[in-house]
Formats: sequence, C-alpha cells, structure tokens
Amino acid sequence: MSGVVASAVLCRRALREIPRVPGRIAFPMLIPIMQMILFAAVFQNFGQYRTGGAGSSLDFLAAGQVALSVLVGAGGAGFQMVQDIDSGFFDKLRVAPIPRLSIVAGLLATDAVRLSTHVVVVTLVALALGAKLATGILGLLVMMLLGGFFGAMWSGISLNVALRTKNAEITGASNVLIFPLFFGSTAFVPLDLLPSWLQTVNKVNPVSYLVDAMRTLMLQGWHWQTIGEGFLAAGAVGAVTLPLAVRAFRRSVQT
Amino acid sequence: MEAVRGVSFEIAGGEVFGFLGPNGAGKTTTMRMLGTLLSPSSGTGVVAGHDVVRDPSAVRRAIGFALQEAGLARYSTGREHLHLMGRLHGLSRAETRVRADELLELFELTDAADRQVRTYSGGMKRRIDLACGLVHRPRLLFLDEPSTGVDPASRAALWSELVKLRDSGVSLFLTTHYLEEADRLCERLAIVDRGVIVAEGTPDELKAGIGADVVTVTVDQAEVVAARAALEALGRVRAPEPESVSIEAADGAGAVVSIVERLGAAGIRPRTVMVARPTLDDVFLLHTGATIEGRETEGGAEAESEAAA
Repeated sequence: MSGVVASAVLCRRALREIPRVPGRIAFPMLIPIMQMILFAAVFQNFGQYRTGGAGSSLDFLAAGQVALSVLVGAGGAGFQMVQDIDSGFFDKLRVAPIPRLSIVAGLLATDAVRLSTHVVVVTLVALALGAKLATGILGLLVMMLLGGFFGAMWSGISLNVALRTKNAEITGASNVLIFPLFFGSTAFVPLDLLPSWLQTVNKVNPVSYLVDAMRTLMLQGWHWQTIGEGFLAAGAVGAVTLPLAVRAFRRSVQT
Repeated sequence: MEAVRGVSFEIAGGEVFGFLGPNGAGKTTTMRMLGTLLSPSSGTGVVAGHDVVRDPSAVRRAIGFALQEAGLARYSTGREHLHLMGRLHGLSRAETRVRADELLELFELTDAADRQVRTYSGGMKRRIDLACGLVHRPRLLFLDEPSTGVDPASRAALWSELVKLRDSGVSLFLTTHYLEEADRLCERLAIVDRGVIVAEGTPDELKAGIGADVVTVTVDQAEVVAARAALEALGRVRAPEPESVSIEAADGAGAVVSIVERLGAAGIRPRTVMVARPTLDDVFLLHTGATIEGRETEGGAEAESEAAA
C-alpha cells in the first residue's frame, strides 16, 4: 500500500480518537483563550498596543494567543507515539505491509489537522470578543495552514523525545520549551520596544516569526514577506526536528 | 547478549506448530525475528517463501501476527481496528467492511463491535487482536503466548477458535509456556530452552521418547506386598508406596487388563486403577534437567525482550 494512503488511514484513526479522550481537545485552547481575555483587559489602556494597525490591546494580543494555541497543542504526535508503543499497537503497525515512515507521517498529519482547528476556534473567539481580521476568511485559511504546518513541525520535538525516552511523562514535559520562547517573543510586546538582547534573540526565535505572520494577517493584510517568513520559520523548525525524529524512529523500529 | 542461538525448524501448511519453553527461553525473540519485528544479528529465516531479512514486506503481507500483549488502541472500537488493519493491508473499503463483519461474527464480537476496546474483557481483547491478524486472510498466523492474560474459561473458547482456524487451512505458529496448551493445540512442537531447540516432534512422539506410561493400582494396605509380587513379572515396579503399586508399561492402557487379571489370580481386588501418560514437563525435564516452572523461577530476570534489545 502506498505511503500516502497509509498515512491518511493512520491520520484518520488518530483524529477519530481525539474527541474520545476527555479534556484532550479543550485543554490546549483554554490557556490562550483565557490569556487573551485577561491580558486584553489588563493592558487595555496601554497606548503602545495601538500600533501596526491594532486599534486595541485585544487586536494586538490576539495573534500571539492564536500562535500559543498551536504551540501548546503541538506534541500530540509524540504523545500518541508513546501511547501506541506502550499499548503494543505500534508493533501491530510495524507488522503491517506499509512504508514504516507512514506511521510518523500519519501522526504529523494528525497534528497539522488538529492544530489548524485550534487556529480557527481561537480566532473565532477573538473575533467574537471584537478583534480585527484584516484578511477575512481567506486570511483565516492561510492562518490555519500556517498554524497546522508550524505545529506539525514543532511536534517533531515531541516525537524525538517520545522515541528516545519511550516515556509519557518526559514526552509531555518536553513541550515546556515553548514558554521561554513564547514569552520572550513578540507575542506581548512589539519588537522595537523589546530590550536589544531580546531583539537579537528574536531574530532566531521561530515563535516570533509565527506570531508576526499571524498578526500581519489579522491586522494589516497580505504582506507576503512577513507571511512567507512565518512559513519559512516553520520549515526551518522541521528541518531540524524531522531528520532527527526519522533517525530516532528508524533506530527504534530496527528493521 | 544472545537470546537465541542456532534455531532451525520448518512449519508445514495447515499445521499448528508450537514453541514450548519457559519465559526467557528465546521463543518470543525467535518469533519477532521471523515476523520482521527484530533483525537477527546473523542467520536468516524464510517465511511463506520470503526471506525475512531481504524481503520483510513480503513476509508482512503473508503473515498475520497476534502479539503477546494484545496491541490495541484503547479509544478505538473493535470494528475500527479491523477496518484500519484491512486498509493497511491493502484491502479496498468494501472488502474491508465485509471481512470485518465476517471476523466479528467468527469471534462472537458482533455485539461489542462498536464499543471502544478499553471496555473489553481480557478474552475479548485477545479475540479482537486475533481477528486483526486475520483481516488479510494470511496463510500463516503468528501467536505469541495466545492464552496469557486470558481467564481459564475464555481459554477453552480461544482454543476452539484456533482449532477452527486451523481447520480452515491457516497454519499457526505459536509460543507458549503452558504444557496443556502445547499438548492440546499443537500438532508439532519444538521444546526450547536457553535459546536452542532441545527436542522436536509431535506431543505423542516426544512423550513416547520418554518411554513408559505408569499404571498405579490402589489396594488394601495389607495386600501391597502380595500385589507387588504378582505384578513384578509385567514390568518395572516403582518404589514402594503405602496403599498402591505403580508399574511402568510401554502401553499403559493395554496393560490394565493383564494387571487386573494377575491381581485377581492372586486374590486381590484393586480399588482403583489409574494410567498416567508422561507429560511434556517430563519431556522438558529429560532434555534440560529442569522443569519449566523451575526454569522460570531461576531465570526470571532474563526477560526475552530485554535479551534481544
């Protein structure tokens, strides 16, 4: 069977199971939605937030929280991998006559689909609260694509941890890396207001590129360079995480 | 470290072939190598005409696999498992649906088909796992410890399923450390200890290799001496027991008549007569100098999967 069909079949299975595990859908979206509501209120009177097309603190902060919903949810692939290894289901997939990498591809595709739904839900909540979406429905589609792609590449980290430790707790904890990267990013403060060392850090912080691309789509319009940089950052994350994940995968399947 | 050293055997079509041995003997390792889940450090295996090292995907297409721990996705239903495995084995959607219904019927899981497997009992998990291994109609099914974790009542049902499967022309290759399972289910056996095959044959052949059956006659305590004297001509009489006499006979059942006649001629009426055939544990003992249970307690730390890693 072709790898693409096998990946699609495996992706459907993983997607189907998500809503059956209580809390697994809602949890990663609760944090960003809560932050959006609270911080928009807390920073309501900060003039600096009315920059770059933002009419309010909510306008400015929404894109960062959309990005956060992707980051918090990323890692599903590793989590599922550990579960399947533990239950022995992974072995069942290994004896199926499919290209083995389709097991990995199926999990990444699952995360891409799942995380793009996070983008939709959090964006819709932002819009309901009164945030702006300059690029309309098409822009939302691009945000989904970007969020799904970035999130899947980010999930490569959890896959690495999952395959190298085969431990659910460590795999779950591996996602804490998002917090320094996210809180130090442009999610809360425009780049030119950050101290210079953080400005330097953010030149290589992929999270800032994700946030900036989302924010451009929400506030300004089709600024292709910023949007393109978001996709490039996602690709760069994948260029690091995926080859390592594939190597760890090949080692753990042995044949 | 080596878990398996130089194991060589053949399985004929439509046969139930078993690996009997204690945990840690290398049974699972051998099965996982033949099932393409582990690469052998040297040597090879040919399964259904395909080399396991050079052409693992052809092997995977030809065999079904039911692993030691029923490897199931907790949050998927039984039917979804069968659909998934069918699709991964290249069946069309329509074929998969029909086949899944057949298997659910065969394994009496139709009523539970749409429940998530986390709600299944141990026996049901085993059955859906078996069904998953059969979706693509393999000619050879690998069963690693099929009745481990299955309660005794379901075990009998499982065995009858496996016999039905064999009768439908599927060859079964199974590992077990249960004597009864090996005896009841397997047409041919390899007895495995510490990574090597120590004996191979049908259960009857293996037991015949040990030699005699034992016939035990219970009599009144006062008559024991007379009974021993009456029976000595028939075969070797075992060490004295207070109310019984045990004698060895090549054909225990056939010897019963002459035993009873000779006792009758001596004026002794036996209260019970019991024929005991040698067990596979006796076979294991003969070849390895230990019982299966004894091996398991002595070598408990030597888990097979770890040895192979």
